[in-house]
Amino acid sequence: MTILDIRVLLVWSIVSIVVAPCFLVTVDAQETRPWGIERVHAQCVWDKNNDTAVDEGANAGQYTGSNENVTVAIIDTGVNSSHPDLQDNIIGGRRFYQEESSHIVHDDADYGDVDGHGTAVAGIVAAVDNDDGVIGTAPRVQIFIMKLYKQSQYEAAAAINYAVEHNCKIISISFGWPTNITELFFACQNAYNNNVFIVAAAGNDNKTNDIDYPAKYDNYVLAVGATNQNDSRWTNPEIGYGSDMGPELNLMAPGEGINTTALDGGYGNFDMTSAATPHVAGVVALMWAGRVDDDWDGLNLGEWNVCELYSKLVNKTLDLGQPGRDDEFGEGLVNAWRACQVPEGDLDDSFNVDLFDIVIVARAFGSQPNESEWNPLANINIDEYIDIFDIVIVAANFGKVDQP
Amino acid sequence: MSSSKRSIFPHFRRTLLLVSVLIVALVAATFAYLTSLPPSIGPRASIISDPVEFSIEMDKTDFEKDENVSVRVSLKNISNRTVTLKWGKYHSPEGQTICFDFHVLDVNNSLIYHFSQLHGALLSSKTIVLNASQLWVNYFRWYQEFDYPQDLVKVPAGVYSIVGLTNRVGLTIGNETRIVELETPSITIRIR
Repeated sequence: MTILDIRVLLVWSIVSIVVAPCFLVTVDAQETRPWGIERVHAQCVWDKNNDTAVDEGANAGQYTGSNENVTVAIIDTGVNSSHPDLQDNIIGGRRFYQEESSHIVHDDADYGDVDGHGTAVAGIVAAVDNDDGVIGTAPRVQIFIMKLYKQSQYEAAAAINYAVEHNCKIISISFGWPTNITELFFACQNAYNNNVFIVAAAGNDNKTNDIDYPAKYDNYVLAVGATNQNDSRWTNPEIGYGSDMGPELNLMAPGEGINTTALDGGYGNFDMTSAATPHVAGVVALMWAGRVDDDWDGLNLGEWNVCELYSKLVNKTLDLGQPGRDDEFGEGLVNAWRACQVPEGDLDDSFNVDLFDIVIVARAFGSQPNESEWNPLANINIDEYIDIFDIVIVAANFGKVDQP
Repeated sequence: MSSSKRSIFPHFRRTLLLVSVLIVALVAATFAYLTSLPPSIGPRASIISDPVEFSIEMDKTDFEKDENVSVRVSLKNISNRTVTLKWGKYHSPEGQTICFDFHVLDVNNSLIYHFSQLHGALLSSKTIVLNASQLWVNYFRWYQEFDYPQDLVKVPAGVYSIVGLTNRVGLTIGNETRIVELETPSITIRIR
């Protein structure tokens, strides 16, 4: 060992002893990224430099416009509107309550949560970037809270109609009903016709051909199932529940042990298809807030519509289970990063797919998470291995330019 | 005249005082007697599946038409150890956490009302911990209406059976977890 080596070792030891504990002390006060956010690679959309903060200014790329014009309506049990990780993104809310022995539904401003379910869902969609607690899938999206008091389908239908009338672009529903009523069906159809994207939970009964309503309305609602940290369909044999399957199932998203906002103002774990659904709602919000992809702008109007968003979203998933679509996993695991690239393969947000994008993948080629060369931006197909398939995605789009 | 007035008045005041004392004593004695009686118990049906007792209770069995029917469904830990119950979905109407369920059958044993058909399930887990001898109750109301799609139509007068359901639940005691799905015996009610 040379004198230089000894000096380097000495300096390193001092740094380790003095500096490292400082970082350890600050861990509690730092913001954590729930595993679900990382698994769908949402952070690649808003934190390209991987500094754990939402990119600002020149770094922000297509996320510059933030999500100020995109509102997600959350139909649930209400929200703790003073939660420090939510209050900045909540723009209002309503409570819907059905009259006794009547189909008439009224609404008022009492959208406070007493259960905690709605507060947990809201955190997965939109927990803010504030150096504390957790961060949501779309940390700058606006959320509008819609509380169902008696939790009837009539209240749900009224809430959907209200969201449509008040310019919400996305509706997240982590409720499920076993039966169909025409009012709910027509509300979902009306939302689709008015360019409002509804995402709903598939259900937890661990059954085949058993998707709950409204997720079962195949043409108008995107049905979301839940996965665990191994990308398997979430099941819990000990209690006899699991993510429901069926021909109407569209996508999967993380739904096991998701750290999110809690009713008491703190944080806790949340699970099942209720947790999976807001991940997808957040990804749709990121897509809607980003640039329009010419390759998917079928009507060529220069703006997204629900049909185009749906088509791109389900085509850019990580296929799970049987090759192609199947009733257990739908089209596969939602992939925020690939769904939001405009054009696809533009990893550095330079508005075109060029040699620099190839270099990003090439430098990380062959790496896996926790290896030094690993770069999540290069893991385009989110299969946790940077390989020829990621190179092919960039190569296939090489030369594409986003036309403003 | 004036002397007779003087003689009557003291008697009247004394009598009034005596009557007042008697009334107060009578009210107090009646109250004490009524409170000493055991509370009136309505119909109750239960099933024991060690380590729990699952029950359905009501206030009465005869109801007028349009009268709301109150149903209490409860689960009691009858062991001396802690029992943990975990459901994969639950309800939260009007702020009450509901994991149990109930249904109503007509005289032909046809299902005419099922609580969970009309109320949306929250699709995440719910855990309830019951210490030794602890009871957990869910309160329901039935408005004498049919289930979907006739959900505002009142059922006709007649005899109906009401059954409490745990729904599928993982029951843990010690290190052992098993899936439990209990159904109470039915309570028969009459709607006039």
